[in-house]
Amino acid sequence: MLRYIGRRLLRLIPILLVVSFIAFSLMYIAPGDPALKKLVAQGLAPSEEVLKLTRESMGLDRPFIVRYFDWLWNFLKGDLGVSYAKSLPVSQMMWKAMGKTSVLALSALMLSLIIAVPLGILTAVRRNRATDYIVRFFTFTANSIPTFLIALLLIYAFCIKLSWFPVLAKGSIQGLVLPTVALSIPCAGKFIKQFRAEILEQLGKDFVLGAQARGVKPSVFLTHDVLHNAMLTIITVIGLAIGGLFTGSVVIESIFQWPGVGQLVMDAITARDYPVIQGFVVYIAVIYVIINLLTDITYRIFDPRVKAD
Amino acid sequence: MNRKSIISLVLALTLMLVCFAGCGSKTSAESAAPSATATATPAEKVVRVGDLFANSYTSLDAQKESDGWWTSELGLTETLFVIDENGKVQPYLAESGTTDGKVWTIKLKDNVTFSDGSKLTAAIAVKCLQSAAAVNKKASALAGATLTAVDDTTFTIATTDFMPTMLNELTTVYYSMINIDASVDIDNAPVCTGPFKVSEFKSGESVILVKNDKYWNGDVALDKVEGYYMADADTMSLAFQNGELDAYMGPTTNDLEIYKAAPDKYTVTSVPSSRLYYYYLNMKKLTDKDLRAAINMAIDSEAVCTMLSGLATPTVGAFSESSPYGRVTKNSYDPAKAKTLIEGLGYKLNSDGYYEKNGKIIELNIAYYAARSIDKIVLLMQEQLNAVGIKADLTVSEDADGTYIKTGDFDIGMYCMIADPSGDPYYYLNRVLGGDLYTSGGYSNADASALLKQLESETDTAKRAELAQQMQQMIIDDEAMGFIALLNKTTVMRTGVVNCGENNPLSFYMISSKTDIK
Repeated sequence: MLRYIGRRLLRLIPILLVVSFIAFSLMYIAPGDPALKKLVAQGLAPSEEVLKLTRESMGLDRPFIVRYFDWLWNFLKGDLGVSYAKSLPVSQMMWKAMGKTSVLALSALMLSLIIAVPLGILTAVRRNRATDYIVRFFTFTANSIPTFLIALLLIYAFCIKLSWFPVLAKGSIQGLVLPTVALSIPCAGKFIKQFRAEILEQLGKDFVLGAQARGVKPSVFLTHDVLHNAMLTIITVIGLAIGGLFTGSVVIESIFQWPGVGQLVMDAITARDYPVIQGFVVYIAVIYVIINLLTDITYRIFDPRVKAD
Repeated sequence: MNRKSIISLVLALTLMLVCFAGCGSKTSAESAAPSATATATPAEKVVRVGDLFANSYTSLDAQKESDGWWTSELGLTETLFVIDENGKVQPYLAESGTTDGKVWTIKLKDNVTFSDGSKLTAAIAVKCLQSAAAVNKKASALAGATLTAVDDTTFTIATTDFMPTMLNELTTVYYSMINIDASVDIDNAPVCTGPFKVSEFKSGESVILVKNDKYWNGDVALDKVEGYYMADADTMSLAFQNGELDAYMGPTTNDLEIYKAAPDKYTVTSVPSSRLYYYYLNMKKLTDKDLRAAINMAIDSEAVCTMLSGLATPTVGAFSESSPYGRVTKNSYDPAKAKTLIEGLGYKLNSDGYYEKNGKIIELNIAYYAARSIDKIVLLMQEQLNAVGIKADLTVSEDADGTYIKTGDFDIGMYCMIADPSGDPYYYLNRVLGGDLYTSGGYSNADASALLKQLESETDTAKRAELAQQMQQMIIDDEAMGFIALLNKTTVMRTGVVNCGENNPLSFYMISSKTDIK
């Protein structure tokens, strides 16, 4: 197992090289000047001379390949560089934002699973009955409403009208509730749909019929057998969702003032803050490799028949 | 260990992690975060301000980047000279500024102190200005200058080329006075002269300031000021309506309707600022002067400002008509005359309602960027041009400065710039006439260039105003640009909050010692 994990982690190296080079190239080709972006803050237009000095101080006058290898060399030493826009170490900015996003992502994931697993089973068991239709209507609605609208409606209802929560969350536990709910609603909607489909497939299998014939209680075979067999699909769905949650939701983080990775990278893209964007690209690559690895390991835990490649 | 145990353990660890992180967050945020219930003791006067751009203020060192906007806005830092409500330069930390035509002599007030009680001396002021010039590339005016402390309260500034607008330059926020030697941590807790001093700073998130008990200029009405970065305009509006913010600048048109409908709860004040909405006409593509004139006559500034519901004021030239250099004239909105001019060029209206000549209609590309309501303005402009038989297409760019402003790839190029950041017209005119980055419309006029050269060194204020007006008039008469409106500085305050710099056109004047909450 350890060798398997080691092999998988080694794959990070070529992945990071390719991904970082492509990201760096795309940013180089994209229109926009980070120096100019930095200087036109507040609507003040810089002179040509100031722009030239700023570009030189930011190293933007150097050839593309020199800048890339400079970045790569520093990255190998653990230095992600300094933000063009904020003049802060990128690693410091990323760590801070990652912490915030991780808390939000894990909370949203847990809440989504708490909602989706029982409802997924319920709708599968009560297929084509009132419960099933009600829950499916919820999932349809949850998947259709834009996230920003969900967020604003939650603020309006729970902050303005009911005054249960403050609008300005600022990293408090109270402030975690609404963004978690806002992220969980569409996530749970997707989960319920997919869990229902998988559970239905399992319920159609012979072992379920056999269990029913032997008088095994539904609660027993549902949790011990059906759910267990459905876990591979459930784990896959969770794995895909985790990636999205950990890369941050710009909309939710902006509306709820949650200074996570999504907001960080959106600001960086607007400001053409290449070092931060590169840092984000590295972060995403690492996250997805680790998530894929954890997903594969979890497969083996639930079904030892799944072989490692 | 079986599978159930592993899953249980992972879930338990995750739950613990979330709770731990949440508790940790709450501890660190408790001292900073407001809530719907007051964090202040009943007797404590606190004003909470939101700002959409505050995340870019990653330091409280006013000399760095644009950080001085935030520190000035919140009453932490002050400058030697300030721009008053009429756009005039007034001494503030300085007592006077005089020149013999070569060297500027600045005399400081004798009673100015920093928040640690130390006095503002000429030596400290010189060190501060030299530091700003070294740290901030935008402070290039003093780069290479010779600053000399003559006595405890007097110093001189000698630049390579004499700068007649030195006092205007010294109103700029990156020249704020900081006691650099006394500031152990200049990025997080600089020692400044303002009515407030730093209590807590979370870079890019919030700053808490408390009353400076040693303030040199009288009593400070408030006990505390809290500044928050707001990533989203809707969230800021909701927080304000929910009582979690007390004042902010720059509401949207939708928010303005809500606040104006409840005058018992909110106070809204709008004054024309110096942020100019204007467009370039591409002189290389639109070579017919009559066609350019027709375009300008087709754009109705009043209608634009009506659409913006009070967020902007129509303008004739690049500056407010109330400023000494804002008195210029232009053709008024006249769509009938616009059509006459186009027909005079040999165009005829086709069945689609567009003017056509030799089988080709007049089709123009309006390049714009979606910020500060420009996306709304260009929609109206498109409609107004269509009404006079000109087909207008819209091309949006996420980064105007890096694309069409740089390349000139437009027929009409929209832009918004602070035309008058320091009470002098040279800044804007140099940008649009000086052959620099912002001349992509291709306009050049030898007479205007000569006047610009003269303006560069003119010391007499009245003459400067006259020169500026002549240059603007040339731009208008040559139909090179269209000046649409000046964005208003709109300040919204909860009823009871007063003196938030709402009558000063510049956005970096907000909280002062006179700001109060009743």
